[in-house]
Amino acid sequence: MNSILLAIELLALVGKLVPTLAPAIKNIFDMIKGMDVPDITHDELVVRVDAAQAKLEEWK
Amino acid sequence: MNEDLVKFGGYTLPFLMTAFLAVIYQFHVFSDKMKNLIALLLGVGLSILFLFYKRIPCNIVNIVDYIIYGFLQGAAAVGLWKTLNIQVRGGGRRKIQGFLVMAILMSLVACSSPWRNAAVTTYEVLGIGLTESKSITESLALQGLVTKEQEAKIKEIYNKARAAYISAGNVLKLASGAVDTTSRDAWLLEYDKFLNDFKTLSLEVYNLIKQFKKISLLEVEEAIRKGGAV
Repeated sequence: MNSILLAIELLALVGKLVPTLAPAIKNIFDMIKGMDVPDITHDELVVRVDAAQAKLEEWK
Repeated sequence: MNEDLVKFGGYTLPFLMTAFLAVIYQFHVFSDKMKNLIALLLGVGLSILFLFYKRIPCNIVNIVDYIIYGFLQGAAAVGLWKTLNIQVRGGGRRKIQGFLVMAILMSLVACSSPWRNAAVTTYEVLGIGLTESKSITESLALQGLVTKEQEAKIKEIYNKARAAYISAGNVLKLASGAVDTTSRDAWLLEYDKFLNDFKTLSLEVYNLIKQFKKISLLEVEEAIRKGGAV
C-alpha cells in the first residue's frame, strides 16, 4: 500500500516538474540546431518568481 | 553574455562528465587508469568543441586556454567521481543515483538557458520539491504514520525553509533588475546564500520524513509481531 502511495506521489512530482523542465529541453535542441536561445525579460522573471513563491504556501 | 554562460555553465561540465563517467565506469573492460584518462580526454575534447561552437578565434592563446580549462574540468570530474564511488562502496548507492539524477537535471537547466531563465527554472524546481514534502507529511499524518509532534517539527522547519525561499526569490528579482554587472553579482551572491539555507532546511525536512516514517513502520511491525505471539 505504501509503495503504491509513494509511486502516486512520485508520478505527481514528475507531472509537476515536466512543464518546468520541458522548455529547458527545447532550449537544448534549439542550441544543437545552432539557433540563438533568447533570455527571458526582467518582468517575465518577476512574474515566474512571484508564481513560484505563491505555490509554496505557508503551513499553518 | 559570455560571462553569464561561464558563470552558470562553468560548474555544469564536471557534473555532465560525472554522469558520462557513471556509464563508462560500469564497463569493466577499462582499467581505472584508463577511465581517468578517458575523463581527461573527454574534458579536453568537449572544451575544444565548445571553442568551435562559440566561434571563438582559433589563435594559440585561446586554444591553450581551452585545453587547460578542459583538462581541469576532466580532473574535477575524476575527483567528484572518486568521492561518489567511495560512498557507493559504503552502501549509499540509492543516494548517489538520486544525486546523479539531480545533477543531470540541474546541468540540463543550467546548460540550456541564458542566466535569467536558468536561475528562475532552478528556483521553480526547488520550490516544487518542498511543496511535495508538505503534502507527503500530511498524507502520512492521515495514515497515522507520523505523530502530531513529529508533524509539528517538520512544519516548523518547512516554514523556515519557505522563509529562506521567499527571501531568495526577492533577491533574485533584485539581481535581475540590477543595472550593472557588479551589483548583479553581489545580489546573486546573496541569492546563493539564501538558496543554500533553503536547500539545507529542505534536506532536513526530507530526512525527518524518512526517519519518522521508518520508526513508525518498525513500531507497526513490532506490534503485529507481538499480536501474533499473543
